[in-house]
Amino acid sequence: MGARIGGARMTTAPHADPIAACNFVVIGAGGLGCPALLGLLGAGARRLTIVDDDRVDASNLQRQILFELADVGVAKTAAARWALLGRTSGSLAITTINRRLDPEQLDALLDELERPAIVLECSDDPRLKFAVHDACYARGIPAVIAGVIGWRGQLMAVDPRARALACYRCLFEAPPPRELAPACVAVGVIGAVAGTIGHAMALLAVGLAGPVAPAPDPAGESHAGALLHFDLLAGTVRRLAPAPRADCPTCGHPATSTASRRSPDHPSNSGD
Amino acid sequence: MATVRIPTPLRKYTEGKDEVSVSGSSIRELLDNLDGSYAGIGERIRDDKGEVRRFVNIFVKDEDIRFLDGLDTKISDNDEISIIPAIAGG
Repeated sequence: MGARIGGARMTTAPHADPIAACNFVVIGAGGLGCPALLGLLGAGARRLTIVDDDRVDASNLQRQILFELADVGVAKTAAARWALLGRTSGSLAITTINRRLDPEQLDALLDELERPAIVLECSDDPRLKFAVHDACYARGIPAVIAGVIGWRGQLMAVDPRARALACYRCLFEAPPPRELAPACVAVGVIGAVAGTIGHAMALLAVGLAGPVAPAPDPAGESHAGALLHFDLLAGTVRRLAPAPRADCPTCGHPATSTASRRSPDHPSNSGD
Repeated sequence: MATVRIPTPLRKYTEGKDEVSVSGSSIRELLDNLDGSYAGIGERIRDDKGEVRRFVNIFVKDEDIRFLDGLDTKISDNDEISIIPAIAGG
């Protein structure tokens, strides 16, 4: 088995390696998804699933670093797949799902995932972020939820196997309305900020592929249950590790039904 | 006065300042005074019932006010208050 995290990671027994064996599911191949995919590849991931319904636009190239001018007009899933395959000489299994997610499709997608799986939510839709979070939690699938805008970004690893840790809804109770949470395409994002957050997502995700954290870590070393808030204009990173909320609708009580956890909205999974 | 750290989307209300000094003995009073000094910022933080919006978190130092006394959480002059909304872009 190779190093835990490295640039060109080599493994001799891929199925004994939790990172190589894990199916990393990236929802949204945009500003966050592209660097997250590169980060996963660099950390030793060998099974990737990419979900997006959009096509590459020239305006994406500043931050969606898997794509080049020749990809304009091509489905992002296909362009990302070819870019990743061109960067590895070893085995790499990539599944592409070129579709827009709604709650029903989200359920089917997650139910059909090859396990073990870890989901990276990289879309630009606040409702989808919460829907993915809730659906993953209900199925016991670890997830990394993130957002980026301007010079700022946030990310949080959520591990439903570690019930003593906070989930995303323990921190944010509901998605912001679109008018108060504009997409990057509307108000702009610094490409390097998206790159930083996307790579950090990959690191949290590969951390989740390791042993389960049994309880909140008083030393603050758990991969899950804490929000990392980056303000890269100010050069600050804050780590907020709230206690789980007893009245959290996602983790505060036993699961009742998948339907009760669904978002009523029909979000898009495109990473803008 | 307490120091309030202002997130980027709300800085258009604070003349671009990333932190401002605001008086108040509780979070509720501090938010009232913040809106009094910077018109329009209050409705981005609280809803029309006066509750903190569900996608916004307010921290006193590093403590979430929901785990303290909510809007009635007492604050002192040297406290640092952070307003952290969920970020949605991707």
